[in-house]
Amino acid sequence: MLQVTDLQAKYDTLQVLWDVSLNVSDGEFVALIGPNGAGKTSTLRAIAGLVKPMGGEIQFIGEPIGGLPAHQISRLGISFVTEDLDLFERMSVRDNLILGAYNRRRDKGHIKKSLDYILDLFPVFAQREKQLAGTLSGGERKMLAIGRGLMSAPRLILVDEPSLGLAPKLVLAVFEALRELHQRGVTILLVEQNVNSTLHLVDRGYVLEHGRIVLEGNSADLLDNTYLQETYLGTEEIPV
Amino acid sequence: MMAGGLALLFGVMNICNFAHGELYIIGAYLAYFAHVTFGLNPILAILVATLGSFIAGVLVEKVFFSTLRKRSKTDWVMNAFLVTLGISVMFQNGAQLVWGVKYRGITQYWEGNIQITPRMAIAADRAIAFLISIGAIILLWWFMRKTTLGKAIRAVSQNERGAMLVGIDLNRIHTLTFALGSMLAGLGGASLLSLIPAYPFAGVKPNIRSWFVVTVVGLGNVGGSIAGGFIVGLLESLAYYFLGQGWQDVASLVMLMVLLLLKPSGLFGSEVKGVLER
Repeated sequence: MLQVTDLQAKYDTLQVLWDVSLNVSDGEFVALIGPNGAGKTSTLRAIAGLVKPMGGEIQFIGEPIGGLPAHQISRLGISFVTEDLDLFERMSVRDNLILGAYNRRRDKGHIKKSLDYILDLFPVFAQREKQLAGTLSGGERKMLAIGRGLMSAPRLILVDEPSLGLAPKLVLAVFEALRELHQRGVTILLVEQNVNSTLHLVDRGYVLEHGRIVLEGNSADLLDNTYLQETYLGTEEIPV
Repeated sequence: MMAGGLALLFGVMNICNFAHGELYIIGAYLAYFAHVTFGLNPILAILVATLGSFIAGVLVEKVFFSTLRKRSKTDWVMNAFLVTLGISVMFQNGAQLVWGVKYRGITQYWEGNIQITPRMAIAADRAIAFLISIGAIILLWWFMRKTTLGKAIRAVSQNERGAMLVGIDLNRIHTLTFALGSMLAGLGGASLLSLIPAYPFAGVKPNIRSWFVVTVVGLGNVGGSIAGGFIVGLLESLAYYFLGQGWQDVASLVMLMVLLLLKPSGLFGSEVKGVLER
């Protein structure tokens, strides 16, 4: 579904991605992992159209999308839940969700169906549709951002570090929500630093270091990989 | 109402529009020509002027700000402000060149007075202008709160990246916002034509006054600017009545100074996007 080939990207004069290639198939749950500053977020930004790639190709359902403006990429069916969430803080939960379906704003039936779907997925919002997004707690904000990303019924959702800044219990709740989504058939590309729990969650993973893909494979294989174990996992396993 | 348009522009687009007064005169001129030259009835003339200033707003945004946005990445607030000053000077002198310095006014749209108490009456004209502005504000409020397009405008003002990611085309929203702001200014100019005639520099005073209101309530606060308009208007009338003619500006300026000293973010202090962040 998504095919990234030899992607290069830079900020001003500083190149941050070299020959990044990855693909995500329909219905898959794929993770992009690696240390801080490896270029994970930049990869997602390039796919979503927030950063213009300077080389390589990005294909989505057979169409080249590299370099298109973000709102057009969103219209093609890619949602991006950023690290900062980018919620509309001074609007209600409901309005945030409704704007999530902006691409299909004329389809009232779709909006209603999506709202019901999100409220079913995240029951915390059921009684609080009128609350301002800025007054939600950290975990709720992440869920709202994911919910907003799902409102347009995207074909692919990109999620950037959902565990960032959350208490371990809430991280589990967010991961649980992602697992649930995957089971409902949503295709997900997840960026995470939390290597161990991420690999227990996803089908496949790519490891990004210094702007290059250094490893890729099924999550089971990656968990067994000696290099990955030594670098990221240490000896103790924390079960999820 | 004018202040409302200004607040909208500032809140959403981060433009300190000093050419707002010129959009006000476009409305006034259009209403004059429609009403006097083409003999349209007042309602139609005001509608034509409103629509015309909306279109003028689209043109100004496309020609100046769209172009500027592509080129200027840093210092947007300052650059946009300078551009509005330039537009203002160009327009004032352009209007002088084309239409001359002649005052083009009308004595009244509608005849008659409305008796409020046996001893107090207001001209029907003023009453109708007032009703028009209230109506426009209610419509604007409804549009911004209840329609998807209005919500999209607010979304852009709150988080541009979030707005882009849900599929909102920023360029379209920027143009629409500027046109809406221009439309409000033009509507103001058109409905007050009988009080303030159209001439090239007629926009200066309303412009300063709406800046004043916007500063009092807090930059970028659309709802507050309505209340602010009343506050400033009442204060000036009181000063006029109790202190005498000429004192009304003193009173309002003193209030502004005191306010800026005590509460720099304005009476209803919404956080100022842009200026504080950059």
